[in-house]
Amino acid sequence: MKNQDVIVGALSLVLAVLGMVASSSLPTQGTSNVSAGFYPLLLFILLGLCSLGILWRGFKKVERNVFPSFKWTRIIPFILLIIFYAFSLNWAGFLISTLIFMVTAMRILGEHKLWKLAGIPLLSTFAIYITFVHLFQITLPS
Amino acid sequence: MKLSRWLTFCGLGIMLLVAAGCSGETSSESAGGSNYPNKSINLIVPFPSGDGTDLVSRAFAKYAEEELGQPVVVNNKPGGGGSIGHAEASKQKADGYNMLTGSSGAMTIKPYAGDVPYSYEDFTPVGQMVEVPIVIAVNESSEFESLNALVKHAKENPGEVTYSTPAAGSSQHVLMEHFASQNDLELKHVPGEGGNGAVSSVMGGHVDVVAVGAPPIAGKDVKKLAVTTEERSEFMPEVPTFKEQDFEIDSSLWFGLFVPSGTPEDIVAQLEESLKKASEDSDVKEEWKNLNLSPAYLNSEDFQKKIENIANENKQIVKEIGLTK
Amino acid sequence: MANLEQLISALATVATPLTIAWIFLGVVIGILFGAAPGLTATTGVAIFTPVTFYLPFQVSMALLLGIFAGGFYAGSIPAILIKTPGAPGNAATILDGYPMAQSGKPGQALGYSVIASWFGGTLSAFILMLLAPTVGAFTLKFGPPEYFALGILGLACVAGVSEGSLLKGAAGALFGMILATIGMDPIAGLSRFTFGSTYLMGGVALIPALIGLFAVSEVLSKTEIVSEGFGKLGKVKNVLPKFKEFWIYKWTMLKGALMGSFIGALPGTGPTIASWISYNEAKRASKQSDKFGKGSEEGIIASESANNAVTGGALLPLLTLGIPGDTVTAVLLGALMIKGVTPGPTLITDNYSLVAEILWILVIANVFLLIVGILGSKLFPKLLKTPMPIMLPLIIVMCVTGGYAVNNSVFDVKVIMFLGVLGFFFMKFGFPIPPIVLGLVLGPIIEKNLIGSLVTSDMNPLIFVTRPISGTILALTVLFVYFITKQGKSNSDAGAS
Repeated sequence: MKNQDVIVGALSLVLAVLGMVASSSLPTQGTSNVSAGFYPLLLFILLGLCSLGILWRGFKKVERNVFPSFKWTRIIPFILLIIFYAFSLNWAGFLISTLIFMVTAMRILGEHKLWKLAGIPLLSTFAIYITFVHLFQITLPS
Repeated sequence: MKLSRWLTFCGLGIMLLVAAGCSGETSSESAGGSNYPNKSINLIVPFPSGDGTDLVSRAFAKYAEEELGQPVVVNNKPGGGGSIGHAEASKQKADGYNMLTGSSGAMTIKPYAGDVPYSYEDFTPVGQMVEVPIVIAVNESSEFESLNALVKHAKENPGEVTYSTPAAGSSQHVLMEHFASQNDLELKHVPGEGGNGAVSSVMGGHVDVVAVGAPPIAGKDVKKLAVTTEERSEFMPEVPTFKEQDFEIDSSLWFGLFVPSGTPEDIVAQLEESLKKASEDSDVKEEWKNLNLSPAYLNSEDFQKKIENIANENKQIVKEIGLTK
Repeated sequence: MANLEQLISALATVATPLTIAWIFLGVVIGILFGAAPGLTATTGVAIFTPVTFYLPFQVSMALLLGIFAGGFYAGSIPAILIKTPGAPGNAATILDGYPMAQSGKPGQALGYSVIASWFGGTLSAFILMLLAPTVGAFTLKFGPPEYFALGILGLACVAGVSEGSLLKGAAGALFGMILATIGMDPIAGLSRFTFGSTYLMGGVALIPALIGLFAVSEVLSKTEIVSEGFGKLGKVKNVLPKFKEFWIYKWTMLKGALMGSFIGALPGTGPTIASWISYNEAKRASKQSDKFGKGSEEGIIASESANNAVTGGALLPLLTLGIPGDTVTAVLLGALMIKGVTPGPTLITDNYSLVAEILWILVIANVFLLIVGILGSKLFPKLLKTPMPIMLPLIIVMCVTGGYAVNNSVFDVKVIMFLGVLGFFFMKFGFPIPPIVLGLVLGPIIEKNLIGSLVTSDMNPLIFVTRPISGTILALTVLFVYFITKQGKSNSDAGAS
């Protein structure tokens, strides 16, 4: 059961089946004879076939693909951080959320020196802000 | 250890304060009324930069900047045939510092044909900027010399005639489906890759008919059969209207300036005045015309009436041709 | 058509210090825009179009075409250094550019890229000069079935870029194509898989998706192995390959440039498809195909020469038919029209000198691109010395800024993060990223033209094989897949023995 192909194949098979159901329920517009779901249905069926193939490979143990290893202690905080960063743009604006992100991310990745933790985020955030907003005339979230 | 943590907190605090100070300029409360505008005004353009709508808006923004004495910042929010930008604009504060270049399709069709969280009633029109007809054309070597000949052929050969438009669900698409149902025709839609793509597919003979706005088709080697407006277009005065050929079609593509509804009346009036002046300015006019778009200023009240009429009409049409959500 | 006298007088008009200075400025701006992930040549040209309202024709074209050429090239810089394509057209460059840079030769990778870009750009400008009217008319022969066939040919590249399992590659491509169906369906404009979100009505925007899948997923996997530098850095001395070293790849480069010019000339295609198809063909033809994906010079050259040849190619239908070949030229069309120049069939016959001036500007812009690019190739790799705890957060910030700027949308930033996390897990579970990206790029072209063809043919799928051009392309596709899989087998056999 440690074979990754079995897990991956099963997951994508579930996705394919869900997709087939969803696309066959899409409506057809009055005059055209092709439904909006025709093409996605085709794709999901093909995906289903691929998933079966991957599952089969998994059971036959074509390759000994063991479950990959993760360094969860670092990956999970980092993933949570980037997602938080994306959402914080809406209510905190570019400058504040970027500063918070830079400091936290550098800390997670093992930077300890205080002057770097303060200086680099400040410098880079403002440099990017000024380049975009004043040089390129591109607005950033505020 | 304790000290360094404390210092980190202090440092972070200072950084946040600095950042807040920098972004503070945009969040200062508007005083409204007499000293309007006292900060930069945001203009949402629901199409990509470089698009016709965008260039028209930028020409206006440049003029309005001088007129109002504050920067007018164009902010492109493209996607979904304009509906993303319209949805975004409808959520903005109605304080006069948020404007939208609204387009006919996104304003009067999308609310009835798509899942969009806004309707035309969420906006107060400031005024119409430009208006152009939709043009119906066929390949240069086509046998059809007039709209009547085309309709006659389509009637005799149901399901044989194909047509292209810039995109599915666009004003052009709705127009053609409406025209087909009015005249009991069975036409087949082959969506193009934008207006230019649609024109190239009729030039290459891959579809029989094309329906696009005037800008991408003016000056192209195609046979133009009809324009949808009540009067002929200044860019192709030789092309007759639908009405001249006895078809009940009167529609157009337009865009105008909008603010979220609830914006103070005196501010709307002030913006209306500067839009009017801009559309009378010879430089602005020249730029709009170079893009094959006819300046067609309408004031807030007339524009409002026009939109109400068109929206009600489109609501029916969309239902009739089965494009409802 | 190409009148020698007019060509020379056009060169004289363009070669004034003022115009040349503006071309240089344009190239520099273009390189800045191209190198920033998310900002593309299209954005650059669009932003500077209003600036040109009051400039004379030559000067405004100098600025905009400079941005055009510079921006197309510079997308390869972040692709090679940090695995983020500056623009979708540079995605194929990652496959070999990034491994080459990681193995300590970033300068050389950039060097090959800039020379191939220069060659592609310049050759395409001359092709435009000589063949404009003929090729322009030919591109009109491409209808829905032909575009569909071209999309399938592009999709065949999946076979070439799925290291490991072809099955997983195919599943990845399908996943990408499924992602691309989100939004409004191309037949009736109905909302599809949008889960009630207005933002999803616009679909999954391509550039943010690319940034997420390539860059963010790479940053996530790097967080697991944080060490001092972002990549190994050998000496950055031999940026310019010796002529002899380079000459070996002349055919790869020429083929890439020709493919780029032609595919670029087809409206609605653009650099992304051109560079993938060129990359795949180079791999097929190569004697060292097993090196592809691990830092092959040929891979970089094939992708970049085709990518930059699209500049001249895309201008071709614009100038001859008035139909832009891709998004940048669509913006250029607006810029030309504002100047009172309406591109179309009559432009070349009535006003050939204007066309000739545009061509010379493009040629000069490519010379600047070569100079700036070579100087930069020595300089940019130094960035890789930045320690990872600083570099990784900075890459994320740059992805966010650029990804936001594409559509001014925070929603797109969320898409970046979502696909970044997803891409990270895909990589971990042995799904190669490039097929997903290919599916995402080609999906919309394939769907729209599949349906379009079926509608015109009364649902008869034979239309794809009975029409000569689409039939030929599909036959080529079959041959392609056959050779690539055969090659893959013999490579793995060789590896086993």
